[in-house]
Amino acid sequence: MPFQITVDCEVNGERIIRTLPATMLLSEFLRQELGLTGTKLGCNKGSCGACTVLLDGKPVNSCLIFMPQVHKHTVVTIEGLGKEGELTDLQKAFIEEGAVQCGFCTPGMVIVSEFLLRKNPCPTEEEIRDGIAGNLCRCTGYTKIIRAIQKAAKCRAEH
Amino acid sequence: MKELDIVGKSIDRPDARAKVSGRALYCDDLPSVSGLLYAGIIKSPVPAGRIKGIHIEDALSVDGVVDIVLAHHIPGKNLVPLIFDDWIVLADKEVRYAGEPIGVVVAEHPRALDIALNKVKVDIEPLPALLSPFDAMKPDARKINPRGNIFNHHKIRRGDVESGFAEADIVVEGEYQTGYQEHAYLEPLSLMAKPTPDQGMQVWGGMQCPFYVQSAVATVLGIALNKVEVIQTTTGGAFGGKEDVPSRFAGIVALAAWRSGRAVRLTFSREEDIVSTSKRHPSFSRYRIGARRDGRLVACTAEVIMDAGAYATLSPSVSWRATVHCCGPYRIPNVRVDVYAVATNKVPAGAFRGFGTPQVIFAMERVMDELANQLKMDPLELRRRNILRRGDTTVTGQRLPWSVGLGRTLQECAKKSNWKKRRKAAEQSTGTKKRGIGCATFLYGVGLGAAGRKIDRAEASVQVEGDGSVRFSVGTTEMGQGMESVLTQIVAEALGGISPGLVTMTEVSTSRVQDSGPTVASRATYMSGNALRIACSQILNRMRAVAGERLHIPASRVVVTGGRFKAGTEEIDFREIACECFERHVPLSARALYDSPPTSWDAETGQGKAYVVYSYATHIAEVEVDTETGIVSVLRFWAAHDVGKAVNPQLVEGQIEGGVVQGIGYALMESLLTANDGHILNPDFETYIIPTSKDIPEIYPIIVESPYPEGPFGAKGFGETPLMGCGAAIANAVSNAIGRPITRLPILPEDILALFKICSAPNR
Amino acid sequence: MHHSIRDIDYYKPTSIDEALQITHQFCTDPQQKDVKFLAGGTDLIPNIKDGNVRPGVIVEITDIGELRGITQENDQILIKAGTPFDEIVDSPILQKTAPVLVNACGQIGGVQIRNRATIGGNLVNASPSGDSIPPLFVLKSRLHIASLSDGKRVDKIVPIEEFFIGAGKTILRGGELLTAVSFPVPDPQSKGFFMKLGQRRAMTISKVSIALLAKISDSQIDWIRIALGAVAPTVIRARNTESFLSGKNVDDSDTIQQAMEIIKSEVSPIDDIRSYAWYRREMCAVLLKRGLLSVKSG
Repeated sequence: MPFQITVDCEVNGERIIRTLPATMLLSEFLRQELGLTGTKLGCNKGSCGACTVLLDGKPVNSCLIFMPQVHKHTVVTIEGLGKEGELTDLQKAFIEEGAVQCGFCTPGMVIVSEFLLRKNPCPTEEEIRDGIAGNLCRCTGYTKIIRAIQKAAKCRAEH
Repeated sequence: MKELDIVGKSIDRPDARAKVSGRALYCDDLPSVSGLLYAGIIKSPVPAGRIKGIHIEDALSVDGVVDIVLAHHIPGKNLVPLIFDDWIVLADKEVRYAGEPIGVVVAEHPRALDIALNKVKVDIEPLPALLSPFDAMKPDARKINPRGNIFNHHKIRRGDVESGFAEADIVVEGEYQTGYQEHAYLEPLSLMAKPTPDQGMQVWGGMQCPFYVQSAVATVLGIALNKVEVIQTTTGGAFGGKEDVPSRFAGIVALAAWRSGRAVRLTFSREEDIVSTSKRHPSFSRYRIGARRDGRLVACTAEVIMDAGAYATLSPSVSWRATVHCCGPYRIPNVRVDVYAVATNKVPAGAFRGFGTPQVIFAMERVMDELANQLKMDPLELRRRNILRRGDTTVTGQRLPWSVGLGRTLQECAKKSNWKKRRKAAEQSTGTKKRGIGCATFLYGVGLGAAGRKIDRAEASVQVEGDGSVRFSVGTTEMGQGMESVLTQIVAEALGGISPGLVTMTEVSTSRVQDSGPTVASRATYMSGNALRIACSQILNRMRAVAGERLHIPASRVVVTGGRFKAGTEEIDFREIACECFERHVPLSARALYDSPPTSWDAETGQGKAYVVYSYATHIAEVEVDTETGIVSVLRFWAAHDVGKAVNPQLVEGQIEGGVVQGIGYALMESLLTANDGHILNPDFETYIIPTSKDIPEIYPIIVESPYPEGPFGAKGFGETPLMGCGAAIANAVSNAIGRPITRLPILPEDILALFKICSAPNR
Repeated sequence: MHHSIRDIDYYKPTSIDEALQITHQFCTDPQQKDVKFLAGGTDLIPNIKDGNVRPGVIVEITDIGELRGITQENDQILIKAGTPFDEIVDSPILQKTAPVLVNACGQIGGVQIRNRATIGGNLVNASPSGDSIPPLFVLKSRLHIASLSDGKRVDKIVPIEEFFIGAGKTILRGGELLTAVSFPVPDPQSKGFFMKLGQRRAMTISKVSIALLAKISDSQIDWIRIALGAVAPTVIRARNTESFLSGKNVDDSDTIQQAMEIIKSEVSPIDDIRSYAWYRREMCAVLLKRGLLSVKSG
């Protein structure tokens, strides 16, 4: 197989078939090919988590994945998280608890927190800290992010 | 004071919705414009040398390469206007630090950049690099910078230190060191420039000071300011790192766009960002302090050397602020301070949250704790006896007539932390896990102060629309800190307590907003806020007159509250009056300038009214030191801040928590290493270590409000302060835990063990 | 942030045999293109971006089903090489039989890394600080390696201690693929311990790490295995310390003190940007003490 490769995948519920350079990164594909710029690049090496997306429901660093690795897989980005134009309870909690400052880590942080709550609906504070440890934030000191996740967990438990 | 409707409430941030949904557009997210080119910087491979030749032929022939731009292509001046005007855009004759920009490769696609950059051959005759300020200060040292190697020597001469020390019962001395700190904002620097049809230039980017960028681009291109429009895109953190640096790189990108006639974008990788942009100055301090037996301070001397890097950039200002803050928030009659900013062959150090103060606060507060030890006095008590209170005079001879909430921050922090009990418990901790608790008290001069007097003013405008919605414009910027919320609340309040949902901030573009001065020095709330308040009151007075007619009472008797104009039981909604004003051709927009109150400074004595007002804080850290591994855990952190008035308490807490965590990084882990060849050894997030969610303690923000009468609704700036005392408080807590003085930041586990063991750590 | 990594041949086989055939073909090619297997990619891709690794061919094995899974047959545990760490951490089999491995793998990277990074990748990278390796040492792991010979698949099994030959170097030759790691279920009476010291508490590369597996009856050490990370060019066993401790009383503080001295003499750490040799050496002793205290407390 030469440099180009055909990738058949699903992004935010939509099936996409494209022939691409084989070493195109998922982050490049999302940002440049699909214009999904909610996925941010903070380090491009898997050290900051800003580019986190869900791959088959699990958070991954999209800067560390070549497009052929996405073939026959499902990707959800920050743009695909809520229903059309609506915020999730988690996103709302981020706003209400003051968990957003510069916002650059926020999409990745929201994605990883969404996974955390799906896997563990009632996380302890320690489990939340573990769950978001792969996402650097330089503004908030994490405290309000933790509170937002706790609030969303409580909200989901009540519904 | 009248009860406030909006100010003092934690409303949701207006920018949060776009940010949580991924719709906020940072510069690298801007949709590709047609013909967009990509830029890559040609960097100096050595820290010092003479440029003999730059060979670009091979690189120019790389497929996709459009242009390679060098210094001699600059149509205007090869200069970034700042304090000394010594900062060049592209090195031409000499390189002064590893990574210094020499040129820029411009290509159709990004992948051509790496290939072409590898093919540019820069012929440099290396010069011996001066990497230490001590070497650079030697009289026979080679001049790194044409101005000489000592950029600045700021002084304070107050009283007579010799007789002060003679009066002292106890004198303590200490030497202290701090390292670099990298901003590590999550969004790397990104800038885009596009020529306009009228021989002008548009520039987009994440930045703090669009008007600085405007001036730099106009200078480099040799065109008028009104031909340059700078648009601030959503900015992913800055902390000082996007104060002066974007000016230089915008100059480069604009130059590339100018020559090609096409749009050009430059987005740094994390590695490029760390090697190319400013950092917190490393520092070396020597302190001597004398007190009477009752703890009363009688004399203090301080000598501080700050490692400024190859160009002065902001160092004159940073070292001046360090000078003013050198002796802490104390009453000391006899003071001698000497602060030097010294050139080295390293990337220019610059602005970083605190702006030269975390270094001197660390040193001063450490020496205060050593003094408390000698006096056998509780360190918080020692501070309580010396801190500035209302009516006192600072070491620069400035009397403080109001808004001195330091005593209350100390009191609240001591109470909430249960200081005495924890201090006692720490003394009794045994085994290999030693507890310790430490404090720091400090102040921060809000705004640019006497050194920045020339540019310390803010302009702003407000426009009420015919439907009662409101748009305001300022030239200060939102970079994550929450300014947009704060100013929205100030406008909503100043227009009579209308709903903040009615108020929108105009996107910051130099063509559409007024110059409010730079977004630095914790000045946006109070400077832009004041300008807006003035503009709002002009509009409100006109609306009040119309409302008075409707309510059949004199305008002066119309009460405006809760977004309604009231007379007795009768009331009219703000929107209705707006509509009526519109129909009656009453002007509903206003523009105002707020000029900072006077400040003064005598360069020889260091005496004067340095800043218009100060913010105050007390930090208390509780730590546990594992004496076998040297690992320090911060268990709890109390941070009490006098902010004048918390316009949005949730944002204040957010600033405190975020600043404290940055401060913990500074204190315990962030260590940027320079190799002997002048290169930075760890320019990425795998090796430059900042705190994660697992590294943070319980943080207890404590808000103290000692209103500043000149500030909008009593507010004064404070955004930088939460970081400033952390190094000091943590170092004092660690010293308390292990019974040995900490003299260097960051405090790495290896350093702690080295204090216990015979083997000593090599110098970092 | 752009990287010129376009000119690489890319293959995505669907079985081990197909992967071996592709690789074999390039290894016998006179042009000898450098072939790299790509599993999770969490180490390989940053290394390609940085230019530290410049493969001519990538053979992606991420989605090969037969390279993934954890099984137990009698007293043998088998972890397929392409199993990511999150599956190891969540595996009931491993939680029961090899908590020392689960503990170590749970401390690797953040959740994003653990969802992608594989145990095989950690082994093949052969970093002395690879956190899954010390536990695999004390579990007496064996590595399963497949290759083609005369067009036929050949499998061989080597003890983990023979696998590493230096920092970043293994015995794997071109065309060989690590397919699994296996180890016998440890004595149910034994107890394990893992601890790492990094520059912070998460997302951190070990400055020094220790894994320890021991059986202690009535304070007497029946047997003990100790492996250390980041204090030598490869992960190493502390054999002198093990033999010294064997048969000794774990409650005897002199014994522990002596063991701490012995372990320091068994390591050859270096200074680097993360720490100093002297610190790493000292920490081997401290971590050993903590490990012994932990395993003796049952």
